[in-house]
Amino acid sequence: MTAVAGHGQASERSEWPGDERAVTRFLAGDVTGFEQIVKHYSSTIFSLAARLVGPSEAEDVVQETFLRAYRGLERFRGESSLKTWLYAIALNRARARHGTLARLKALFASPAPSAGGDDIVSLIDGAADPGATPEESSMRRQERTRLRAAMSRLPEDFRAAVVLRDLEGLSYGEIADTLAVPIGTVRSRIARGRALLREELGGEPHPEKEERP
Amino acid sequence: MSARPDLRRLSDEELDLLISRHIDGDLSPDEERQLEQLLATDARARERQAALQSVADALKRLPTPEPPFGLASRVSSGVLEGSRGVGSLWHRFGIYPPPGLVLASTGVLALVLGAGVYFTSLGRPRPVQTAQHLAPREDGPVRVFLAEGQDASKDAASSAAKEAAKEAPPPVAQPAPASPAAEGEPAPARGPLLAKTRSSVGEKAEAERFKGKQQERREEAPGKKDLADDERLAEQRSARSEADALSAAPRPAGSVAGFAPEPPARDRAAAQPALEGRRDQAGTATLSIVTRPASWRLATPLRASLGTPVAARYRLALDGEGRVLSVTPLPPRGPERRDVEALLEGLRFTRLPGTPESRELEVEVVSR
Repeated sequence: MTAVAGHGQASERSEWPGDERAVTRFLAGDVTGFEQIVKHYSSTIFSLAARLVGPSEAEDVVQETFLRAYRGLERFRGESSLKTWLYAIALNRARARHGTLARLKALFASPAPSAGGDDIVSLIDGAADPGATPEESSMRRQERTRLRAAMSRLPEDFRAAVVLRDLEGLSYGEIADTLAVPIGTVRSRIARGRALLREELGGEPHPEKEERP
Repeated sequence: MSARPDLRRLSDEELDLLISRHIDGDLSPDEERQLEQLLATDARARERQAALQSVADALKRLPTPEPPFGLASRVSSGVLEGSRGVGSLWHRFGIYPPPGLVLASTGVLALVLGAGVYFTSLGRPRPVQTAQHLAPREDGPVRVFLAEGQDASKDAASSAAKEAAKEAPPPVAQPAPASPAAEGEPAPARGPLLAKTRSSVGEKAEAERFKGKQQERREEAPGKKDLADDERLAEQRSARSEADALSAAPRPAGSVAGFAPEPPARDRAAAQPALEGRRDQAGTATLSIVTRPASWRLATPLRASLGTPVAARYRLALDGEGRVLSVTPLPPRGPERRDVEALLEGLRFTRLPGTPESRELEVEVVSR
């Protein structure tokens, strides 16, 4: 790590200079450029990774993501944003780490939340509801549990699109960049993912099973 | 979706797509208007829309995972290390061993290596330290010994001491009565000694100062028990220093307390503060001078108290009588050590009989 010489320099380094300047700084040989990138995006990547593989393995995914980014940053052309580029790496790392969709499904399909566990089950179900009455908290926990079960049954492509849109808040264009698919495919995957979740949660008929009159 | 759709003919899947895009604000104004008309007239479309909206809302209500404290720092340092270390080798092959496993393996390996080194070094003389960089440390009085040279070391040492005694004026310190401490310390098993002294003059001066301070304190607060104890301690120190001075080889008159003989005049000013500056600090440092070839022996007694540790190599040019003419640092060159160079320039070396004549040798100076 580079030593920080003084307060002014420290504050300059702690500020986020933007994707382009941080990347340029790193490519010019200044490691602090990369440190700024990590500092700015590590929380976001952790959030995505935790939703994909669970908090216990999320940090490893973050580490691998930034290691890949460190090695590949000189090939980053800026055609997509740095954020979506990192998201794409994180998604690939999460998939590579688990190998198959089955393992991801198994993670989501735990039959009951484990007490004190640090997987996504406890992450979703155990979250505090500040200001909520006990009844409301109980209802929300049930809702999360059902949502988790429904998410676990989603096809991976749909789930990734839904997570990126509804949990990470990416735009359609950013999701298209991240998943490297056309924007029409993104629209379709999100819509079908939500419809499948609606079916799982509310018993709505699957659109492919029952046609409108 | 740029063409205006006929919403009445849409399949459920197409309607869900439209509603999903509506939720995300992705519809054009025309599409929005048509969807609103449909929702106003079609109850089932409204149900689908409400259900999809609730799903999206529920997803948005899910808590965001909080990153653990210090994540960015760990990731940064991990990446920078991993990009150069063994980890990168694994990663190049797409293998990502869990960090715990790597840590545990490293620990086990270190344990095995450490145990191996420990057991193989049992009963052996400790090797001379050859570290290139040593952390700065507060050094006290210094023991000096020559760590190289295997044969007839005692003879060589005594002859070197005798030779030095002939050349050097009588020592300043007067002999003290023998005491247990005057027996001198046994030669360390790690290597034969040509010259080994405690910096007795330095210790003696320290003891004298200590004694003086105690006297002052006693005058201020007479009759205190701890002062009496301190005085007894000071006397013991003084006796030991004097005994050590006896056991040490003679020192030329006028030499500084830091080492003998006196350094050349041009280095005296630079060398002296470093040599004497730490004398009040507790602890004893060890200074070793390793000669190459080993046929060279230190002929002059040596007392040194270096302010900071040193580990460096030098080439020495000698005159016909073995006195050091010049000192040249050898690579890898660390920070300039004028005190060490001055120390070396004040030394004299002798060759073992029957060894090739030479006027040059290398020395490795290490203290810790």
